[in-house]
Amino acid sequence: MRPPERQRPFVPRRAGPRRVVVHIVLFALLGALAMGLGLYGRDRLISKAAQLESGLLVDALLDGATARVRALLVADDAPQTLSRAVDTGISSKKRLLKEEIARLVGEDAPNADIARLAADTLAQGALARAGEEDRPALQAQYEAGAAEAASSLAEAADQLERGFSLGQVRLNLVVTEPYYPLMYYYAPLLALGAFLLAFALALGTAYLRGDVEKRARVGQRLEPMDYLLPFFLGVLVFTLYPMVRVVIMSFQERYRLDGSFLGWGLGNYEYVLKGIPGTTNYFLQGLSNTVLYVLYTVPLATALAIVIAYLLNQKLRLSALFQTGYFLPMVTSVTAVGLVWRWIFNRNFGVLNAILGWFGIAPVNWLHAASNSMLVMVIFGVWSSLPFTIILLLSGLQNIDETYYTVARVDGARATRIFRRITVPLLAPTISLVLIINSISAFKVFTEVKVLFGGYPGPVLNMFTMVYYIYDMMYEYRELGRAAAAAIVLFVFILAFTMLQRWIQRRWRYE
Amino acid sequence: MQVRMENLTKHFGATRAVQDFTVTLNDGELVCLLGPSGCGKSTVLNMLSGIVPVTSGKIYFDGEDVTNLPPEQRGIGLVFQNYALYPHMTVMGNITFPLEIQKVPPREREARAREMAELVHMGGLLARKPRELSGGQQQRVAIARALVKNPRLLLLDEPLSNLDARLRLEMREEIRRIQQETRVTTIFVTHDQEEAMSISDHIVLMKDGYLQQHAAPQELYNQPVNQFVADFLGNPPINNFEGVLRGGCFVMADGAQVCLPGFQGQKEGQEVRLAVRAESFVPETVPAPERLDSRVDSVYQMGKEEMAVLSFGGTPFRAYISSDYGLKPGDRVHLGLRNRGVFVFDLNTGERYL
Repeated sequence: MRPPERQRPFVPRRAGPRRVVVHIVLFALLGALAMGLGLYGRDRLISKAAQLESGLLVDALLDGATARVRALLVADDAPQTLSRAVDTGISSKKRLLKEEIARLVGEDAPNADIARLAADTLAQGALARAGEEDRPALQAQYEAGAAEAASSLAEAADQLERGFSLGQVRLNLVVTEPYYPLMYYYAPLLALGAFLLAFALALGTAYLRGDVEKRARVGQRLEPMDYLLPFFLGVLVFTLYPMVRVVIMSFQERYRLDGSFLGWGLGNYEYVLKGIPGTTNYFLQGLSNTVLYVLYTVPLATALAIVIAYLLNQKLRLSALFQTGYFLPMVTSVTAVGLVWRWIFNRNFGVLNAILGWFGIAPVNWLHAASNSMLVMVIFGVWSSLPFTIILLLSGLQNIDETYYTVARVDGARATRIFRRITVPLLAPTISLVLIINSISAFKVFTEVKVLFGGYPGPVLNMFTMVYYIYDMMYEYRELGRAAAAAIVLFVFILAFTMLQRWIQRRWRYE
Repeated sequence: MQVRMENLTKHFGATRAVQDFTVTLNDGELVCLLGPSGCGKSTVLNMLSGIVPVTSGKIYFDGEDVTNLPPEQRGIGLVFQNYALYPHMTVMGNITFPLEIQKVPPREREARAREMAELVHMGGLLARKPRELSGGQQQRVAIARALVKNPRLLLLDEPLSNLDARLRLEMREEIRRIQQETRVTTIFVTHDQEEAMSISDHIVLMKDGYLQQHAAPQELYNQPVNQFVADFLGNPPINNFEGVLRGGCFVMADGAQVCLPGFQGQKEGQEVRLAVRAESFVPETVPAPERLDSRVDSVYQMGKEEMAVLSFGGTPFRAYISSDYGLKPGDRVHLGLRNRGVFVFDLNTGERYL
């Protein structure tokens, strides 16, 4: 018996504690930077909005006061000389009054006071220009209605301000002058900063509380994370954030690229699912096209691929040549190949019609007859999804132990029986994987449509697919919220379909 | 069924896997194809099953030339080292599969599979999938599957290599029992000499594609035809001393010598190897020319016997010696040689002189 192995003493690596310190400093700095940028952005956004809002408020007060004072002083049947005198008087006060109102709005004075002051000032100017004989009458006329006019103006101004605070006016904030681009992203920036600071704080606490050993251990645990960080940052920025953003965007109605939107709600989904009443709902058309495309293409491509992979797996002469040939579609661009297929499908000069002609079949209008669109898509789709499917199935086939075949062969089984009773069942896990991968990529069908039908969704707008609809909403209509909502619906469909598939296949697998 | 191989040869490109292999195996016997890795024993098996075509030579089953017969017409049952049980079928499905191929009616299929499962003691586990079985159980199923179609010849390719030591012992006895009960001619490929010695009727020992010796286990052990056979069999391995024959005595480089009765005047001056099995030494107290004057280096207790490591003429060797003698390290002891288990081989060719 060997003596029980003694616990090896923990040897702290010198790099450990130092690494912790570096992280604390770095994270604290980065966190502070993100927080700073976020807070500054928030500040800029608010002040920009306030600036624009106060501008609107000032204009509203001035215009409102002008209209009301004029209405009080000038009756409909008043002589032209009077109305001209009143207008001149009002105009003479306007410039100074605007500055005064802006100052008062900046000081957050009550709207009632400002309204009264504005009305009084304008009335003064108007009275000063009016003739001596008219003045007392006008004065009395004004004083009788002044209170009511001022209060109605104040109420209108209050309403406007309430509108601002509800954020409904943000839609009108068109920022033309140079501005701070990160200001619409203050929320994620603040969140990132808070996270980094919290992490730095947690590390700092652990560092200060722990002894040397603890510090070294923390440092060593940080090391693998550091190696993951560059990749994770990429995933965070280019995958995770967009994913979250799409979900958020799908609930933002009339979202625009500058970050403004009309409000929160389910309007995007409603539009996507219901469309415009009385017209074709292209999303539902795309949905049915996509589902049909998946149901036609995936089983067909998989079945073909199994047969081809099985044949390629036989050790035949020239099999390397065949393998290259079958994998060619994978290394060529879908767009380039799609253009070639346009030629193949061409009614008058296409290879396909030429071949059909040998059998006495009249030329088929592949690309420009709506009834053939799906067939064209399926042919192209099967052809282009074959190579990857074959690669996966080939690797699956090559994982099947040769001895199964040997035993079966010695027992007298023929090729078809071996294929049916041994190869296919043992390939089941790979087949299930292939079905899932192919369905997901078939759900995302887009380039095929775009290329085959010359940049349109089918000859008579009959081949919308879900992704084509998303593309259309995004780039043709600039309706980002609706595009996002359609993308979410597509995601839900793919998820449901995949889960259904897995559930079915679980009964079929042996492991 | 009697199996005869005549001048069987197999070349894989430049590699000569099997060379001029001629051997006849008797009906109903369990024969081991024994040899180190790469000696061509699996190739012989594959040629027998028909998986690998022969380069030249003939194979006869009961006098019928089957050299060019496809595997399925040879009536062979195959068992692989990794069992090769179909993972997606139950035990029952696996055992009935060969019958399914032969289009045996389902009812008869099941009855025969049950019978086979009983034979290999797997009757209770017919509904299991292979992954739910232990290695030994999988091996039993593989044997049942190979036997269910009543093959003329059962081929086992290193069937015990994937099992742990205890199971290997158990399965070894099981294979022997099953073979005894069915009396099917069986060829068992292995590189484990102990395995081969314990279960087979005959052993075919191979090296580098050539047949070395074909004999019953005891004969192989007691009458090896050459140095390789003597070295390959036995645990601990046979003790070898290198020296020269002078006047009927074996003389080593440092002058240590031992005289071999019946060798007077023969092979004078020949360089030879004296090979003695560990159990062929008899300790004596008195020196004599025909005794090895050796020194005890260490002693290990092994039950009623002791294993002593000694040296003679500078060459260390092992000997089983009764503990009654009470040997201690450092003792000098004079070891006589028994009649059995003592051989003299040519140092260069390995040819046996005694």
